[in-house]
Amino acid sequence: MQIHGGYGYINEYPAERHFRDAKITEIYEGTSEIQRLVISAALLKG
Amino acid sequence: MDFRLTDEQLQVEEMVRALSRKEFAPRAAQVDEESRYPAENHRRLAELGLLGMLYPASFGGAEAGPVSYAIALREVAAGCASTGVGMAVTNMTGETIFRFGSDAQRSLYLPMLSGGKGAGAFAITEPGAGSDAGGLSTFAREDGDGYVLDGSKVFITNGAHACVTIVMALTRKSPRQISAFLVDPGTPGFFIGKGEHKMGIKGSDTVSLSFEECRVPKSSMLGAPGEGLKIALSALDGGRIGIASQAIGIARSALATATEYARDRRQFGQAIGEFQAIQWKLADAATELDAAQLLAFRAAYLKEKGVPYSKEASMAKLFATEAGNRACHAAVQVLGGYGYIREYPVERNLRDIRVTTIYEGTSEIQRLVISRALCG
Repeated sequence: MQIHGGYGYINEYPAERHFRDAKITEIYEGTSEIQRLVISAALLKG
Repeated sequence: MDFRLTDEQLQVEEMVRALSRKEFAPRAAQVDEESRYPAENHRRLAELGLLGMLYPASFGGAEAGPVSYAIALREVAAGCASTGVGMAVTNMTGETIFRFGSDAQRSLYLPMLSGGKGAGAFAITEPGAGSDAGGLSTFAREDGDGYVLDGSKVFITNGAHACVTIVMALTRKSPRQISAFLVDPGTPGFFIGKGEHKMGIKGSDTVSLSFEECRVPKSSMLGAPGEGLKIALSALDGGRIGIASQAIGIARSALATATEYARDRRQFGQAIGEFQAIQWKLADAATELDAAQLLAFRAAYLKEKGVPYSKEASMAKLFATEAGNRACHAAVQVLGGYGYIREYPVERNLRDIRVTTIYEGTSEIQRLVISRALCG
């Protein structure tokens, strides 16, 4: 988005839609925070 | 070093915070949903002297000073980011006319701006000239007792509601000379284009402008021929403190929502605010926003003292907007799925704040300004 500058903020270009769409992927099907728990538990289990 | 605000600054903070919470925040979701310019907010800002904060009472201003202005803008933006940016550009326009205008220009336009007759707009950016503002091509041909403007501008905040627009144009192609003009709405040959459909700050008027054989009198030039770029860069220095303040306001609002949610939301038998993962997000955001506020106040303080403040303003804008973006991402994340739902304000906060690392000089340009100041 930043590379597009002001145009990145305008609906006519897809960049802002990709930004909005991508946002949910850090939340659903297990938040990033839960993923960190899963990963660290696996690491600490040895 | 006394970090306390003065009594006057505290009064401004209290007054504007109350106004923003009571009147601007309740409408902000609807303003966003409808992409509606909140004219009633603009009128209230005028009534309370918040549109002409940086020039004297003799011209209808509130002469509140840069620190009080930074505080007021932050509080307005915390309630409604769209109202905040409109207030910022109107104040910047008025201050620029105050600093560089003739007595006639000041007497005509400054009372109109502070009185809320219309907003102020600043037209530098063109389809072919964004970060490379100096590469603009709108041309002002000298013709008899006036100039004739031809060209187009894009992404102009307040463009459709302005009672005066500062327009940068070339008055000579070789060697390049850029001058500033004050153009009134309704001037023949001056056309206002459609509003852009944006990701956020949807209540802010963002339009293109076009000039087709647009004749303006010689008296409409702001400053002397060739002073256009100097005027623009000087205006943007102050504008950077404004945008830094806007970002801090939006982000603090998002952080407050996230903090309250973290107290209430229970998972795994406890409030999620008791998990370190959540606590650290809130701590990091709060720390960075306080740091951003101190950078903004430092720049405002230097400006108030009348000493150079360009590097400091640039640092404040760069840091506050990037930290503000991080804080709004964190706020959405703390709210989880609810952070993605329109009923909660954080997704709007994130959409609103995203533009702040782009307009009034991208983060990349700020880094150039700062490094040039450091390296000489």
